[in-house]
Amino acid sequence: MTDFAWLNSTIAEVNNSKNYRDFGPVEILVGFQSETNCRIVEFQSIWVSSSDESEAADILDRVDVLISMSAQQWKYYLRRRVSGKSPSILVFNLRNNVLEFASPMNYLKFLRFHRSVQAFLDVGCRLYK
Amino acid sequence: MDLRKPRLERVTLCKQGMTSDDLFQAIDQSSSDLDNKQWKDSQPDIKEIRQLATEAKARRWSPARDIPWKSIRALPPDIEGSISQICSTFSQFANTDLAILIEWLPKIDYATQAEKSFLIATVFDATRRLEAFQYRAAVMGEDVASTPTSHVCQYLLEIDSWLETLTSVCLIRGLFELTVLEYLSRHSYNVAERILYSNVIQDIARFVSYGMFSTKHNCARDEQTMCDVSSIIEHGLTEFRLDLNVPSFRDSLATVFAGGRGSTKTNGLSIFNEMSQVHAERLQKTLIWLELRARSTELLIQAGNTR
Repeated sequence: MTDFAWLNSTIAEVNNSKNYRDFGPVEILVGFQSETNCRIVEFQSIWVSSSDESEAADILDRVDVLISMSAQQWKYYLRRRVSGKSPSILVFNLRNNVLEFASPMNYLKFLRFHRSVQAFLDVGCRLYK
Repeated sequence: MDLRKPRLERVTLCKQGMTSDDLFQAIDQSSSDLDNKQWKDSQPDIKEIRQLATEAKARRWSPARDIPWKSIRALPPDIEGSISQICSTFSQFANTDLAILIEWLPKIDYATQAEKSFLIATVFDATRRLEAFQYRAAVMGEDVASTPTSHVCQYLLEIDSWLETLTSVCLIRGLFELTVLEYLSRHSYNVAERILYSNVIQDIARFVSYGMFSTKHNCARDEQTMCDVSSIIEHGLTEFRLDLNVPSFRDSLATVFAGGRGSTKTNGLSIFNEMSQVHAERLQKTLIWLELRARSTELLIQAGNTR
């Protein structure tokens, strides 16, 4: 099971990052899931915050986009992303079940803000240990 | 009687035998039509549209400042030619959006301030798209290939109702553009293209979101509007199927996906077919969400199976 502890340090870093703010304000709720372990990260305006661990049962109804990977896949993605070998999260939207949306409007919402979500993950992959 | 016609024309109608009572009745009827179309500030959708307008202004980008054009290196002529062809097609799409928005903005006088504000921001988005794709098409000195006129674009320019135009732009062409750009992003050859496609995806997703809010709002009003929207989508999908079979666009995408012409062309075409299927599935989900009639989805599956 993936420990999402890296999300806390990522949030702290992103909230102090000018580069992240340059992408513009964001309004989206992103769920991170690895097996039964879930966290919800709220992107609001230029700030990011996170709730405590959430229940996996109804998480898709509580977020705009759910990024769901196995522990091994999270590790693989973050490690390879930092060396520039992994693609952007946008690519996971095609023909696999990594990104999940409750409705087509949520899919569009993710596309509207995907650059900010990617910037957040790019900070995260540097801090991931 | 259309009250948007010039005053002189209305006077002419009076001369043709209309009494003043007829005229006032027409005014009342027209006002009530406008009231029906108008979004009230209290409706939740208007908050979303206001947010879209703010977002469009806050997240705008500049082709000259934000795209690292210098990261583009020389590519094999077949790939460069194909990218140039695809970018010309996207320029044509942006040009059509501009023509549509500029034509309709002064006419939809019943639109709320939030809608107008959003649509004006969308005009700037389309202009940026046009500029950026034209620049990418010619940046390596490639002769920009002439792009055959898109059937859907032609169809969009001929529709004489704003709701139908908006629905068709967003549901028939917008969702397809998003899927193509996502695939192009996966198969991009440099940082400049990746950033260009990502930025354009953000802009188009905003416009499609607005289109879906509007369609949902209007379809909820009455059964007749829902039937009209369904039939316009069915007609639009017929034109869309013709576009999907245009060899220049299909082969250019296949070449970019496969990394060049030659033995891998079959691979490129299979990725193109996969992309068409992904688009068909997304459109199907969207139509179900909008509660539109099933006939549209049947046509959609035929469009997805086009080879």
